Amino acid sequence: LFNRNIDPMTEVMTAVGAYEAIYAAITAFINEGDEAVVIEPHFDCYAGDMELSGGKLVRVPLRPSGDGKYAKNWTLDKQEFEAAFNERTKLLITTTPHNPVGKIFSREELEYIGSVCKKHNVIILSDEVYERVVFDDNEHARIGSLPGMWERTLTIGSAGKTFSVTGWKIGWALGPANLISQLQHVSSCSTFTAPTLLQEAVAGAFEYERGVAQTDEAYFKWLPGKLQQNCQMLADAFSDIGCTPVWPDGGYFMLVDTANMGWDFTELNTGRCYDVDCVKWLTREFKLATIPISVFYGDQNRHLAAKYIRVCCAKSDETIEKACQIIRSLKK
Amino acid sequence: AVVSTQSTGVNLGQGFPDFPPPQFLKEAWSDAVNVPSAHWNTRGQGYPRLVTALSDMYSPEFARQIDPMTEIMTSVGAYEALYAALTAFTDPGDEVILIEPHFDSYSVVVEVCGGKPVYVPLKPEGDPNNANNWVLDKAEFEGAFSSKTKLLVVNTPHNPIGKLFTAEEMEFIATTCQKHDVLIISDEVYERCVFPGHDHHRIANVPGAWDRTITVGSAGKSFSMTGYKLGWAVGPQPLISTLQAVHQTAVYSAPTILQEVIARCVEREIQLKGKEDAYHTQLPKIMEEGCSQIISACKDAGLGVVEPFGGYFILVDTSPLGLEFDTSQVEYDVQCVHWLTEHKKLAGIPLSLFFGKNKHISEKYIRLCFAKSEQTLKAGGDIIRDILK
Repeated sequence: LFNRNIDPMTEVMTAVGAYEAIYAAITAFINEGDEAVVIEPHFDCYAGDMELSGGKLVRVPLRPSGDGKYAKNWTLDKQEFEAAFNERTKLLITTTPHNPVGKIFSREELEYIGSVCKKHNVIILSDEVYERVVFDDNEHARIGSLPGMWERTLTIGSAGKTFSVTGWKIGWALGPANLISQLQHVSSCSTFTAPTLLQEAVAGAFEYERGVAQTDEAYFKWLPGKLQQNCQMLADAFSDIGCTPVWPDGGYFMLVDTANMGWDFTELNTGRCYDVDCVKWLTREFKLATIPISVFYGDQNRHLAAKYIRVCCAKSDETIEKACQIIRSLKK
Repeated sequence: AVVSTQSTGVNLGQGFPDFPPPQFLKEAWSDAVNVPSAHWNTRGQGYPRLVTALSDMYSPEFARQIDPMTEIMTSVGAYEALYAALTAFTDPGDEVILIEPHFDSYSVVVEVCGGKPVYVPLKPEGDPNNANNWVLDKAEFEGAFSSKTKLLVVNTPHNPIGKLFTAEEMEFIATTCQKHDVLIISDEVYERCVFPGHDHHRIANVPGAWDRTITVGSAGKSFSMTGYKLGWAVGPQPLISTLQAVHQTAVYSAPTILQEVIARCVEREIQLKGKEDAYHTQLPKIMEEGCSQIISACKDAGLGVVEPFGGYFILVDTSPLGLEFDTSQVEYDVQCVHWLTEHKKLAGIPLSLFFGKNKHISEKYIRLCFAKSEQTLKAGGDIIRDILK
C-alpha cells in the first residue's frame, strides 16, 4: 500500500488505540511554543494533546463549495493554508477519510499539502483511521506513499475502526525509524506496551484478511459496502424531509445541512450555536442523538458550521432503521 | 532487558510470570467475547462493571465506602496510572521523593515532566539477609523534604527488595508528608503477592492520609497475566479527577473487553474471599513456594539472599562467586549479570539499575524473579546449584 518494504521492527509501533499513537506523536515533537497546523473541523483529541505539550494549534478550515451536496467539494484555500505556516510550525495534522466532513483528500490535494510541508520542513501526522471505509470508487490516497513524503510522514491506523471493535483500543503508527523511535520514547513512559492478547487477536484478524483478500469473504470488502448502504438510507431520509445531506467519500460520518428546515432556536436564548441547540432538541424531543459540528472548530471559524449536524452510519440495521423513522417524522 | 531477551537460557530477569493464566481467566475471556458492548467504547474513567467490582473489593480493605464513579480510575496497566499520577502533579521544578531502589519508570516520568527526583535509600540495618531490615534513616528521610517537594512515591510490597513496609513505617512516612503537604503515590501492584502470615499495610489507611494518597493496583500482577496491561488508581475525587485529565488525553480509556474480563475475575474473588479456591488465597502460596525454591538453590550454592516477604523478586548476594571485574566504568553487578547470562545462561537484573543516587548500596546484589513456572524455577535452581563449578 506504500510501495515499500516496511520494517516491522523499526518502522511500525503499536499503541493503545490510534488515540495513543496520536498522543505519542504530538508529545514527541511538540515543545512549549511549537505550532501545529490542523485542517478543521477536526477530531477534538488533537487540541488536548497540543495543550498538554504547551503547543499551539493553528487551524485552517475546509470550506464547502459547489452545490454543497458532496464532501469532496469541501476545500482548503491555498493562500490561507500557506499563511498558516511559520518558523515555529513543527507538525501538520491531516485526517483522511475526514472526520466529521467525510471527505477523502485526493492525490493532487495531498501532493499540494505535502509540498507545502516539505517547503517548511514540517512533519506530517496523517490520521487515516477510516482507511478501510471508502465509498463508491474513491481512492484512499496515502500521503506517506507519495514521492519524497515517507521520510517526514507518520501514518496512524486503528484496529478499532478497521474491524469495528472500537473498544479494543489497538492502533499503530507507521513511518521512518527515526520518527517512530521518538514516538516509542513517549509510549515507553506512558503505557510501555499495548495489551499483548489484543495484539495477538488483531494480528490473527489481519492474517485472515490477507488470506481472503479481494474475495467476498473479506471484511474489508463487506465493511465499506455496509456503511455506504447505511449512509444512503440516512441520506435518503434526510433528503425526503428537505435537509441537504453532504454525501461523504468514506468514513463513519455524514454531515447534514438543516438550513432548509427553518428551525430556529433563538427564542430559547441559550447563547449556544444553532447546531448545539438543534442537537439537544433532536435528542430531547425525538430521542435522536447526533453531534453538533461546531465543536470540531476553533472559535474563529465556528460560523462555517452554520446549520450542520453530524450523523454516524456505523450502526446496526436496527439503529439505522429506527433513525430513519424518526428523521422522516421531523417537520419544518 | 536487552541481554535478558537475547539469552536462550533461563530468564529470571524481568518480572513476568511465564506460566499460563489461571483457568477461570480463560473462561472469563470467552464469556466476555460474547458480550457485544465489551467491544465498544466505554466510559473513559473506567468500565462501570469493573469500577463497581473494584469498589466492592477495596471498600472493606480501605475501611470506607469508595465511590466507583469518582474515586476509581482504570488504566492501561498500573504503569499508565503511575504515569498519569506523576504527570498530573509534577510541574517543572517540582521535587519528587523516591525511596530507592525503585521501579525505573518513576524517575523517568518525573524527569520527562521537568521535575527533580530526590532519592532516599533503604539501607540494611542489622541482618541484611532479611528484606524487612532494609529501612529508611529517619533523619535522612525528613531532610529530603523541601519547599519544592510535591510528591512522594512509596512501593509496598517493594520491588526489588521484597520488603513489606510496616504500619509504623507507613505512619511515619504519612505524617512527614502531611507536615510538608506532599501528595503520596502508593504503588501496591504486588498487594496480592504477600506471603502467607504477613500483612500488607496501606498508607492510605493511616488516619488523615486518604485525602492525599493515590493507591495504584494491577490486574496483571493480581491475576498473573502481566501482558493484559490493566490497572487502576484509587483515591479521593479531587486527585483522581486530575489523573483522569491526563488519562483522557493520553489514551482516553483502557480496552473495554479487558475491563469486562477483569470485572468478572474481581467479582469471583469477592465471592470466594477467604476460601481455598480464591486466586488471592492461592497466589501468595504460589509466590512463597517459588521463592523458597530459589532460596534453597542459593543456599545450596553458598550464595547469600535477602529473604523477601512479598512481591515477585529476591536479591541474591553474588560475592561468594569470587568474580573480579574492573568497576571503574561499569558497576560490578551489571558485569556480573552479563557474565551469568553468557557463561551460565541465567538472566537476572543488576540491583544498581534501581538506584538513582546511592548505587554503592547495591554492591554485589542481583535481582531474580521467582514468579515463574515450575519448569523455569527448576531449571533456574539447577543452574544456581552448579554455579560455582
